[in-house]
Parts: sequence; C-alpha cells; structure tokens
Amino acid sequence: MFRKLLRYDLKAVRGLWLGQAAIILAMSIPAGLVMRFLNSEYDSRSAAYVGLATFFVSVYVLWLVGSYIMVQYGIYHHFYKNFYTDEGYLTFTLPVSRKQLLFSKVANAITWSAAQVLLYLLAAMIVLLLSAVPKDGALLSFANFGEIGQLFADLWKDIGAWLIVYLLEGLCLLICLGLYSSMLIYMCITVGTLLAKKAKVLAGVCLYFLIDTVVSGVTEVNIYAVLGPNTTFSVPSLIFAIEERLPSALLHGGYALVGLIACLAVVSIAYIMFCVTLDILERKLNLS
Amino acid sequence: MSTPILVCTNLHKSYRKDVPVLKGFHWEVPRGRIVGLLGPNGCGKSTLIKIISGLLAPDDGTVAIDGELRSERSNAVISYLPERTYINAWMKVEELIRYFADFYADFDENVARKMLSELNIDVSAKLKTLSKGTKEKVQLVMVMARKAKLYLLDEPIAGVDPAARDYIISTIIGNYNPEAAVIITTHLIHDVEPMLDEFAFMAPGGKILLSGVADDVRAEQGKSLDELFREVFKYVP
Amino acid sequence: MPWQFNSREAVYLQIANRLRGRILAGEYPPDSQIPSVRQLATEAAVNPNTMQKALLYLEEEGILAAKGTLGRFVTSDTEILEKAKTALKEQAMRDWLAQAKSLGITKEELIAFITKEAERK
Repeated sequence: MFRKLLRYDLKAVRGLWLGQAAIILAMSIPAGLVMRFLNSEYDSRSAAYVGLATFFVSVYVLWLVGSYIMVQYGIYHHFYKNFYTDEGYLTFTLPVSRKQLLFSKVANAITWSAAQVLLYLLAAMIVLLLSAVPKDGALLSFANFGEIGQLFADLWKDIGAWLIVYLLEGLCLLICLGLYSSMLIYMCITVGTLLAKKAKVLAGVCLYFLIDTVVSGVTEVNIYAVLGPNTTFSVPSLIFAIEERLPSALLHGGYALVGLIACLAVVSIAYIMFCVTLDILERKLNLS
Repeated sequence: MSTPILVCTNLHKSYRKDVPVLKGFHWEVPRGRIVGLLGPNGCGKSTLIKIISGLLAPDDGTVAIDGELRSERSNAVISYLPERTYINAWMKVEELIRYFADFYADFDENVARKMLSELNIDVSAKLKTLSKGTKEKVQLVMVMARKAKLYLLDEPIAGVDPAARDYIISTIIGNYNPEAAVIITTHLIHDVEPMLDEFAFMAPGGKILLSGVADDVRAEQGKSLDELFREVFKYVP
Repeated sequence: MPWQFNSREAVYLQIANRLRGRILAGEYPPDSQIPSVRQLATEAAVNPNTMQKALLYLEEEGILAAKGTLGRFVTSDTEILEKAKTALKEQAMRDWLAQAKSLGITKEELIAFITKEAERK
C-alpha cells in the first residue's frame, strides 16, 4: 500500500519536475558554450558580446534558483491539496494509516529534492565539460578546479581516510537537514490549517519563520559557544591545545562523533515534528 | 444473529466547547439493510457519517465495523460518498478508476466502466471539465462499483436531475447485498422512502428520536415516512 | 419509472395488489415465471426485502408458487386465479358503489346509467 501511495505522490510532482529539468538541461548546453567564450581570450572588440554572454549566464543561474523554488512549491502544494482540500475526502478514507500517508509525503519531498540536487550536478558537469579551457597548464572553468583538486590532494595527505568519513557525514547531514526542513514545512502547513480558518497560509508561514528563527538562534548560540572568540579559555583554544596532544585517530574520531551527534539531533527534531503532525492528523483533522 | 455491520457506542463530539453535536450517541445497523438516516440540518448526521468513515475522530466513544473496532482497515470495507464533490482537477476519469482499483481490493472495474458508459460519461474526460452533476455521478459510480460491507451515502440524489435520480436509486437497489448495509442520509425522503428497510430520525444534539421499519409507518400510523418526518420536525412559527 | 405509493397502506401490500392486478390481467399467464425479486425491486424502485414480503404475501394467497431454485411462478391453479379475479371485480364494484352512495346517486339512477352506457357500445 505504501508503495502505491508513494507512486501517486511522486506522479503528482513528476510533471513539474520533468518540465523544469528539461529546461535546465536544454539551457545548460548554450550556457556551457557561452562560459567557454567568457573563459577564453578575447579582445576588446567583443565587449558587447561579453555583456550579452554575462546576461545569458545570469538568466541561467536565475532559472536554476527559480526552478528549485518551483519544485519546492510543487511538493508542498501537493501536500496541502492532497490533505487539506476536498481531495482529503479521498485521501483520508483510503485503507492506509495516517502514518503511512505522512511518511509517503516525506519520502516524496526527499526524493524530488535529491533528484533536483542530482540534476544540478548533471547540469554543472555539462557546463564544465563544455566550458573547460586550458589556462596556465590547468583546466579552468567557472571554478578553479586546479586549485580545488590541489586542496583535496593536500587534505588527503593530511588526514587520509578520515576525509571520506567527513564527506559521507556531510552528505548524511545534508539528508538529515532535508528531512528536517521538509518536515518543518509540513508541520507548519498542518498547524496553519488547524489554527486559522481564513489565513491558513499566513499562519503557516508565520509559524515557519518563528520556529526557524528559534532554531537558528539556538544553533548560533551553540556554535558561538563552540567556535567563539579565541581567548585563552574558549573552547576553540582548548581544542587547539588538545589537538596537538591527542593522537590523530582519537581527534578525528571525536570530530566524526560530533558530526554524527549533529545528524542525530537534526533527525530527532524532525521525528518530533513528524509525531506532532501525525497526532494532529489523527485526532484534530476536520475537513470542512 | 449475525454481528451488526455498524455499532456506535456512546459517541461524543463537540466542535466548540459546550456545544456537543453528538452526545452519548448509540446506534446499531444490522446486515442486509438499507437504512435512512434522516434529520434536519445541523442534527449531527454529517458529523456521524464522518466519524464512521474515519474522517473525524470522536471525542469519546467507539465505532465498530463488522465486529472490529474502527481503524484504517475498516476503510477497505466502507464505501463512502460524501455530500460534496471531492474530485477536482487532478486527473481524468480513467485515472480515477485506476486509483480506486489500486487501493480498493473490492473495486470492480468492469462494473464501473459499464455504469459510466450507461451514464454517457467519457472515460478519457478530465475531471476538471465535468459539470457538477456529472462529477457527482462519477463519484457515485466509484462508490457503487465497490463490493463493500457498508455504504455511506450522504445525499446521493440531491444534486442530480430526475432521470439520474432514477438511475442512482435503481443502482442502489440492484446492488443490494444481504451481507452488506447501506446508510443513506437525505432530505428527499419521498423519493428515497420506498427504498428503505429501516429509518432513524436524528434530532439536533445527536440523539435517535425515532426509528423503526420504514413500511410499518404506513401500516401503523397511516402516514408516509415523509409525512411523519414533517410532523415530528415541524417548525413552529 | 419508480412506482408511486399512497400513504395509507403498507407499501408491500400496495405492491402485492399491483402485481396481483398484473397477473390477473394476463401480463403473467398461469404457470409462467415471474421476474426475480431483484429485477422487480429495481423496476419498482423499492427495497428488495419489501418486494420479497409482497411476493411472500401472494404466495400465501396461492397466487404465486415458489419452485425452489427455479424461481417464482404464477400458480397453474386457474380456480384460485378465477376466484381472485372475481374478488377483484367485486371489490372494484363495491368501491364504486360506495362512492356513488356518498354522492347520493340512487340505485335506479345507477341502473339506468349502466343500461344506457352498455347500449352505446
């Protein structure tokens, strides 16, 4: 049953996603060629072309950003429609639990967001391949890949396999943050429909910003505490002091553990929000 | 005596504090019956139907479907036709058929298609483009094409023309299954009366005022159900 | 088209009367099979249980006979049917006479009227 739910949820956003994806990929080819033009040697006579090219690249970047917003909107609009409009009569009389329904929506959000990230990587690759131009013995494109490559090589020399651990943890943290942010929006939409009869959207948006501000505030306070001004007794200086004396494995193990704890904390908050939303769906739902 | 299809025990529901829509509501519906749930606007009919179908959680009390406490599993044997049209934009009729076939094991696709063609509804039409009356017919077809144990029909004939009404009534009768029960709420009592086994008059505050066998009303009181309703719920100016 | 019913008599009795009328009028000849409960209920737009009650009533009268899985048949006993027809006619005439009486029509006026009408045909 859950698979069927997810299938229908995915289908609801699929059209929008494919449409904007097609445009991105289609635009990536000329974008790459234009950037190639911008990267290569040119004389002052083609200044007008430079202006045009820069304009095109700006439009491309704007579209990349805009399409992300569009996809996000599509995901959350589907959630709202499927649950809180007349369609809810169909949704909530299905022989599936509210938990499955909600979980399918979360999976839907993660899937399309992940797909969007992969899409951007693909677009970046296309642009890179088309626009990379040899300069000073290295490949140059919209970023200095030579320098970036050197940075990674140096890191690998310094900390070895821990680099992979950190990268994986980074990826994990991104996914956890994705879960957190989609669950936050779902919860705010749900609470919004519960609270306000007339201004549901407004209530939801306000709640989102309220929670986001609180969470950001708390996080920043903690980060400041951990990475604050470098006085003799601040945590960073303590870390620097310890760093030199600890064996590398223990130190990196410690950092990795911190990363893991961060992931768990984020997921826990997401889970709490899931439970809150589920409770509202099970006990307080009232379709007009 | 086989288990009743529906048992409501001590249901309580208030939307606002101190304004109970259902208060200690008890009701039983046996198998093989077509029951009319009749009452004036605001008596709690729709609230009760929503609680039975799972759209609303009661504040207190229980609902048992075919002997089992109401859960999402009950939805597999309950076929609910809401008063409002819930099919909007979103898909074609064909896709709606797929949707029901996907989620409901008791959905008979052939019956649905047959009924749609009898009603001259194009299966490839977008739901968005259908008129309100046609949407209601489509909704009804989806509900009646299921071999459910409990049918909840909330105002099934209100928004359609007389010819469609006849079709809907004959569909409900033709669909009759002695293992299942049909609960119909309606204001068009005169049209629905001959179809009913039993009736229940529901009063505001959510109590069953009067109930019994529909045909006995004529025999015992020399009135039709419609006339009895008007008498019981008369508005005193 | 759904059958119409009055408010005075139980619906199943009204159905039984209507079906009896059809049978005696020859629409369902003796020893012929009548449609199933479901078909009749759908045609009349009535509850199948009510239709069943009506058919059982006619069975008790002897007008219908249930032959197990084969279905329901009009009785082959023409005597019962004749008796029923006579009863139907007499009831119709009795109703008619009662109405005439309530209008103050005398016996002589009735007989004169019937004779004149019969001659016209």
